[in-house]
Amino acid sequence: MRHAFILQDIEHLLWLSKRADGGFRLEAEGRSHDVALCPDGRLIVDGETTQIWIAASGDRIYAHVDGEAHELLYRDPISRFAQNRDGSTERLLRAPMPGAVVATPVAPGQTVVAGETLIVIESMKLETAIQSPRDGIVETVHLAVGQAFERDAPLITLAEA
Amino acid sequence: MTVRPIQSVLIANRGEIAVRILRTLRALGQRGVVVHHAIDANTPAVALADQAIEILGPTPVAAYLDGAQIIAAAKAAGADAVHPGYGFLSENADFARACGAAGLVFVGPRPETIDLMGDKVRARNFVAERGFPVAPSAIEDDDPASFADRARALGVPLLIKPSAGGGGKGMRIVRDITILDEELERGRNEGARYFGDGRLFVERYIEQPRHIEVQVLGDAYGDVVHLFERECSLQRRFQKVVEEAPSPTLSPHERARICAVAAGIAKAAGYLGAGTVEFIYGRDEFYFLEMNTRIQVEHPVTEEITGVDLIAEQLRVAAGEPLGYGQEAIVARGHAIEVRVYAEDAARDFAPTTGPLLVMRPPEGQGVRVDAGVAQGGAITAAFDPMIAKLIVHAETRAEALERADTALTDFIVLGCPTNIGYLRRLLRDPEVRAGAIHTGLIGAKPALAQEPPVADKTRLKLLAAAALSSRPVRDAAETAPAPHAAIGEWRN
Repeated sequence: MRHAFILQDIEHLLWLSKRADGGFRLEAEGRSHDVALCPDGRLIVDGETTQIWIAASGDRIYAHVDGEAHELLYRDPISRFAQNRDGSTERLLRAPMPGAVVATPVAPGQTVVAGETLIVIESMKLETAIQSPRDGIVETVHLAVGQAFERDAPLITLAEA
Repeated sequence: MTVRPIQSVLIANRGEIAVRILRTLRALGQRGVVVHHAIDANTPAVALADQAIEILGPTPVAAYLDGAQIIAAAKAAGADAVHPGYGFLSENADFARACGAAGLVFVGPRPETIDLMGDKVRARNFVAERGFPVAPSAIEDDDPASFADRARALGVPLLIKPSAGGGGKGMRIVRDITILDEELERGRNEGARYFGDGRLFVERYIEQPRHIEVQVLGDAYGDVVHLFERECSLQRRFQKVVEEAPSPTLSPHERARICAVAAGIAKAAGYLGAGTVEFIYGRDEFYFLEMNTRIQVEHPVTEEITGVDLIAEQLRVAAGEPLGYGQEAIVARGHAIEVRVYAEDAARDFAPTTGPLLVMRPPEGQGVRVDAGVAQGGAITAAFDPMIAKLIVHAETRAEALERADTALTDFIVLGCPTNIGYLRRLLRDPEVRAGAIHTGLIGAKPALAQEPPVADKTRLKLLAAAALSSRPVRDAAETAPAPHAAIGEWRN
């Protein structure tokens, strides 16, 4: 079993082990590397030192390296397995940004076609119509007009037509 | 008007502009009081203020819009002036009047001027009647029945604007005349929703226009100076992203003309305080767009090239002091660029992001200035716009300023929420941006810049190593388990 990190939407598998001398060895992308992270933010990979800034929050790791910040998501083996087997996420339309609901033109049970507006949201100064990605039947409208939500909040669940 | 010294100022705002105003107050030896909603209790503005007063509201934004509560706070704190910053109550004439009625100096123009410039139609007519250039247009109020026909007669492209609008809200460009009626209806709905006023006006739209604005400053005795122009053509959906001074496109002759027109408009309006006259520029012509009767987000680029502290000047003229200098005293030097660092995800259509500021380390150095309203340990929430900071650089030439901005952005470390820093770097490196060949549609025309390029192999390895070494489960597994299989040793390079 290896660890999985998502960087730029791509999953990377790796394994970290401890050497007899106390240092760490990273197995990633088919190769093995000597790695160390010092408390002062120096990252050493195969003898080469880079200054990095790193912070973690839950499963998310934020790192600034080589002049740019990146976000990595740690996926624990159990949820990874579960999501691979269950296609339910594709039926669920999530909020692309935090905001509030402006209009809910469809109701549960209603048949919709691809491109039809399912919900209209407003974020900052922007109104966005969320359209149906395919033909289907509205199963659940998760929010009512005026309700506020965070990014990735469930908006509409769509059943097969 | 008599001079009435200001000793204590209440700041009716938050975030970076509250901090910016507090800095000047400190330098002048004046007392700075801030009001704040509870959500902002741990922000730098509250920490820096001599006094902080909590204000309440059904939402955080509503608290900062509650003029009566803010005026009561100002009286309770013994303030003699109120600085509104930008946004919120800054262009609310009734608030300015209420301040005056309560015996407080409103740091801004007279309420009548705010009223005049706040009504886009009246402002446009005011400017046109005095012989200054405005775009051909049709105003619904003139004759609602013939409005659509008059709009149609202008020919495409057209720009629809809510009469009561500002900040790009509810504006629509029409290039296909057959959908004009439909777009007018949309504009009306948006105007009604945002401003409680569905009246519209339509004007000829200049394709690939440049946004050029001029900073002006007027005193209570009718004297006005300009502090040169800023170009803010790099915008996304009418919101400015990059601002610079001077404009890379104006010839010295055009600069003199546009600045003189701006100062003339301000003088005609009897303008008191700091203001900005905005113009649309294209094909060697320029038209009056609107006048903003407040300090602007992008004021630092003007401060950097002129050396003038605009907040200090606002306070001085608000207290009734004369400007005390003429136009010849304002001299511009070098080139300044401001970029707005936002918590947003460029690759997801610039959707705002939220999150804790786990690490926030602004860049420092010669010619580098950061105006930030948040600090490490704070958070970006959905309650306000997702601005993290403004990065302003100043150098001798535009090329050097672009270079300095790139370096500063590289050194700007924000961890905890996605930001547009990478996007800003790509934007400033774009060949057209570097050449100064910019217009308000440039950002929209280059969607590829919004996509984060794949990380280099070497950087990816560093990221994975850092992530592995700082993830508890990964590290725990390494500490407790022996190497999973002997083969690893053979992969050593």
